[in-house]
Amino acid sequence: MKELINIGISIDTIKNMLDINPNLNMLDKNDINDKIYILKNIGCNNAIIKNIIEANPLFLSKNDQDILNLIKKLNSLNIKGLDITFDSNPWLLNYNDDDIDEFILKKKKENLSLNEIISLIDVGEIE
Amino acid sequence: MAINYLKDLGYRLEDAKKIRNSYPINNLKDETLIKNIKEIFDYFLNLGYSTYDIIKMTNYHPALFGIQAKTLDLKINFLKNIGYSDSNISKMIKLLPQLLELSEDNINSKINYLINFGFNKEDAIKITQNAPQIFNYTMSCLDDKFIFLSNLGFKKDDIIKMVKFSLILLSLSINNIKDKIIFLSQMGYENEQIIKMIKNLPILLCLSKDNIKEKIEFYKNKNLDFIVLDDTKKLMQSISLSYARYKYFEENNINIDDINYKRLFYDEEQFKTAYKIDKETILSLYPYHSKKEKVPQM
Repeated sequence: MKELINIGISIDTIKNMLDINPNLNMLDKNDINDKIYILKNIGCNNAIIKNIIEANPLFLSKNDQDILNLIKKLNSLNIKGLDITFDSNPWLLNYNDDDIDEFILKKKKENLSLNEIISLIDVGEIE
Repeated sequence: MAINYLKDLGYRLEDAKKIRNSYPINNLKDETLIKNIKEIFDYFLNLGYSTYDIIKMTNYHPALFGIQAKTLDLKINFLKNIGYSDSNISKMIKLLPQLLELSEDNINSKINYLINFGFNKEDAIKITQNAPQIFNYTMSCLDDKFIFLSNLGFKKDDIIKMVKFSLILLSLSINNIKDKIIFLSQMGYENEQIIKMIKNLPILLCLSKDNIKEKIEFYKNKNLDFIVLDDTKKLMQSISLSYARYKYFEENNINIDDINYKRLFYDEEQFKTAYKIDKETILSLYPYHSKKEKVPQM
């Protein structure tokens, strides 16, 4: 929890975050620091990291490799500025790379172009 | 012996000790526990879970080592028969391994509760796969949440729409929601306006107060506060992007008002086509310096 407090998240907010991720208090410092490191690596500043974690504490329980695979997938789609993409839609981090593939396939069947599908993902309109 | 076995699998010593001493594992003999651990690892590895995931799941819920693999298999097949996909079952279990110990009656009753409230089965599955902790709630806890939302002024149809838009909404506690409402009221909004904003953007309740405040203040300062009330969904966009685009327009003598404000929120393709400048360039030209920037101590 100290790691969350160190990035400026208040105790009251952490209590609220527990509603969404009931296992939050069981995460060790490496779980949290690794996620912060991943976000920093894609260009997130401290304020954005705080926004993302406060809104979507679920992603802290995710496997690092799944997050890295998701980022790789989004990069392969040429989505630039992932820091801003995740700041606008922190819940995108809960998806896996195969969810993105599945979404693209579904939207292609609806006759959307790849560029249109990428825009939907970029603005977080993914279901 | 069991502790060393767990350590060899990759558990930290303190976690291995915690597992060994947790109920009902503490009643098992070392040999039995090691046999169970091996069985559970083999079972999940065969299903495609990584060692990292299994360690996490069993740290969250050591009692998994007290369940036989065939019992787990029955539960996973039960979830599949309800309509959850393999990938979603895996996500739910990784998040809430306790799910594997819940009774079929409990799971069915929560799905039926949501269906009786007015969601269809597909919605009920989507809601619970995104917020499996709902299975841990009592019926009266769910009743209380729906009554609370209704007392705030949301009609049943509104609640259904809001939950469908923000699938984790039901996992928020009443106090958490109250807290956000009080905060919005302190920001100067009347009750009816707050209800309207939440109806427009239910996920607003999941954003942090700092994040909401920063965005509201930015649009208010630019005389664009109608966005907050009438087009609340636009509050999703990162403040860094809104700021950079606003500055870009300002420098190019384009005044942003209630007629043309949507250009602030164009998707990347639209914006690039219209103004020949991409997200990365505009962000580097007009960096937003958040008031809450803080150096984390790693």
